[in-house]
Amino acid sequence: MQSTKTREGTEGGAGRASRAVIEARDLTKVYGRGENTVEALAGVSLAVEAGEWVSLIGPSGSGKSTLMNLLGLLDRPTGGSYNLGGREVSGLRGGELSRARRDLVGFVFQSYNLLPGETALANVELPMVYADVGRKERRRRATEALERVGLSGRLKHKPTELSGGQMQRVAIARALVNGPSLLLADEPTGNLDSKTSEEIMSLFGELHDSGVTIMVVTHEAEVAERGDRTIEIRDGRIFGDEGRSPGRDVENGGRR
Amino acid sequence: MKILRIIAMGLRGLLGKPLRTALSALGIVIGVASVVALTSLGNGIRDSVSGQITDLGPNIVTVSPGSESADGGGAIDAEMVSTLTPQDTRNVAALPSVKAASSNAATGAFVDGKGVQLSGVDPSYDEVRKVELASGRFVEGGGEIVLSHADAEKLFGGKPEGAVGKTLPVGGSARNVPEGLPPEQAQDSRQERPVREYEVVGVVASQPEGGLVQAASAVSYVTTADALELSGSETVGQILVAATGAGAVGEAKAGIASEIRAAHGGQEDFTVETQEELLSTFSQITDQLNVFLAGIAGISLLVGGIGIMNIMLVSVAERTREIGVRKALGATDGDVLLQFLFEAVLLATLGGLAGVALGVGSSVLLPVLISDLPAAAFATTQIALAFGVSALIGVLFGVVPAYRSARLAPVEALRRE
Ligand SMILES: Nc1ncnc2c1ncn2[C@@H]1O[C@H](COP(=O)(O)OP(=O)(O)O)[C@@H](O)[C@H]1O
Ligand SMILES: [Mg+2]
Repeated sequence: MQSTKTREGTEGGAGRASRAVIEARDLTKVYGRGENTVEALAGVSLAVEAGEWVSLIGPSGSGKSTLMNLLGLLDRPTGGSYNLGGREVSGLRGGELSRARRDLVGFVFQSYNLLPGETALANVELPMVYADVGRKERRRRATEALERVGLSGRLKHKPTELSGGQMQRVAIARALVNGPSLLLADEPTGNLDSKTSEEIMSLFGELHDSGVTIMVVTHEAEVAERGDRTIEIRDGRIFGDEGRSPGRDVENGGRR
Repeated sequence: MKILRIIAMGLRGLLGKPLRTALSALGIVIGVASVVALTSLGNGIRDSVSGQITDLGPNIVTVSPGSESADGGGAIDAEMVSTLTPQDTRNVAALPSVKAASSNAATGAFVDGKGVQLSGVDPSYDEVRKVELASGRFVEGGGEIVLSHADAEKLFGGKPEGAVGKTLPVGGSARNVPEGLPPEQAQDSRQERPVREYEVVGVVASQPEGGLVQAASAVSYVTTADALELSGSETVGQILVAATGAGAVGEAKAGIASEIRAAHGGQEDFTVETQEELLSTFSQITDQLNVFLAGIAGISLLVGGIGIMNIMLVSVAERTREIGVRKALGATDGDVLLQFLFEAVLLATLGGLAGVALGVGSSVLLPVLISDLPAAAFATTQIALAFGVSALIGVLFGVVPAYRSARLAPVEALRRE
């Protein structure tokens, strides 16, 4: 019944604003084996500071999802190094990797990826089950997170009983509930109409204002404009990096 | 405790989706039920066959009049010149290798004016060849009669239940009433012997049609002495002997032969036959039946196992995406494995128990519905084996593919539909 982890989703450590959340160097990803290999990422170096909102844009197939998956620890890079929240994570495996994923990142998918049989509340509680948070504490924090995304009236609803926008809100609440250093979203509004997209992006805005570091993949210009920095990727390389916070020197930022 | 949280979550998941849970367990339920039912019904058939053999008396040795060597095994037509006496029977019964012996003196008689086939036997006949009674007891003394089911129906107007305790006039004829002779004709035979009152002490149970012992149940029984009095004879037609066991049959045969030879002044005017031939035929049948049953059990286990495998593989494949979601949210491989292991063990156990219940239930019910099917016989080892193998397959095929999915990178698992 102990609840060791009680920190809130948005509370960060002191001095977080000056610290790099993401520090990636020369990340590569090659899919497949033998003759049918695809080099999805051809060496990406990138630094993102705490509190930044980065929009990741680029044509279809350029490697945006591949990069996000690597940054979200959902996949392992073929080469390169990755420091997440001050911790070298590119060499992690097994349980350590799972725990880093659990504690450091929140991931929002285009297709929501909620467990269809579970209620909104149970879906949001899930990351805390794996973080070994007690039942009452889970309930409290999940309820709070759902209130924060404007779903206090939908706690007991199952995904099939929710609209696309509502499902994405549940997914966002779930991504935040373990208090990650970083919120990653791969085309979070890709399945939503423009009005709902607008609402979701407003929610991201609120989260950003409260200090959450955000990285969003998008096709839509309006969505990209909301961020304070836009990184463009083409053919697995960073092609442009606009509005990045000053004083931060990222080596191959504009290399081509 | 994280383990308990994950188990509690798994349990809620199973209970929250009763239909999916039931469908996943169905493979195990059907697998176990079919193995249990098939083997139990098969055991029942085997037991029924060997039971009928036992009813006939597998340890039986028969002594017939006439020398086998003299007229080539024509023991039957030598009946007229039988030299076997009740004293021979008593001598044989005293042999150490013999459990029981009984004379068998067949005769025709008029019971209540109707022609009836009688077997005059000793009270120990019941030990030699088991006689199933519908009511009452077997003959123990003079003036008692046990009616065959058919005779009881004939004499008591289709109400054999009320026969026990009634008395009937029984009179003998000089000649045996030949079998199959219509009663009117038989009635014409002269009655030379005085009519005596006999008490009905029992009625033989009616035998299932086509049963091996049906023929034997068609006669009514009186004591040997009464039969000899009715027929006016002093010799018996046959001596039926039960050896103390299957291994003692040979010794009994030799002992009987020398005993009777001595009593008959060294004359070999009788034939001693064991039922070895019959026995070997029967043991061949039961052996084949046993092999057949083992085959059925094996095949049903295989079919059940494949069914379980299929359902578990499909249900885990359907859940690869779920595994991807859980891993993306921070579940370790071990967390995922624990959940699927718990679910599979619970499903296998509950499914297995339901399967045993269903299998036992249907094996009890089927023989009731289908009259030709003998009652099922349950073997704990077979039930345990069916349960164990099915549960093991269920757990294995629930956990192994889940573990393989769990080892994928989360994106890989999420890509699967
Ligand atoms: N699992 C995979 N196996 C093989 N090739 C892949 C796989 N995933 C992505 N790719 C390839 O990698 C490249 C980048 O894909 P992706 O990162 O999904 O692009 P984006 O998200 O920018 O549209 C594409 O050429 C795609 O075909
Ligand atoms: Mg993509």
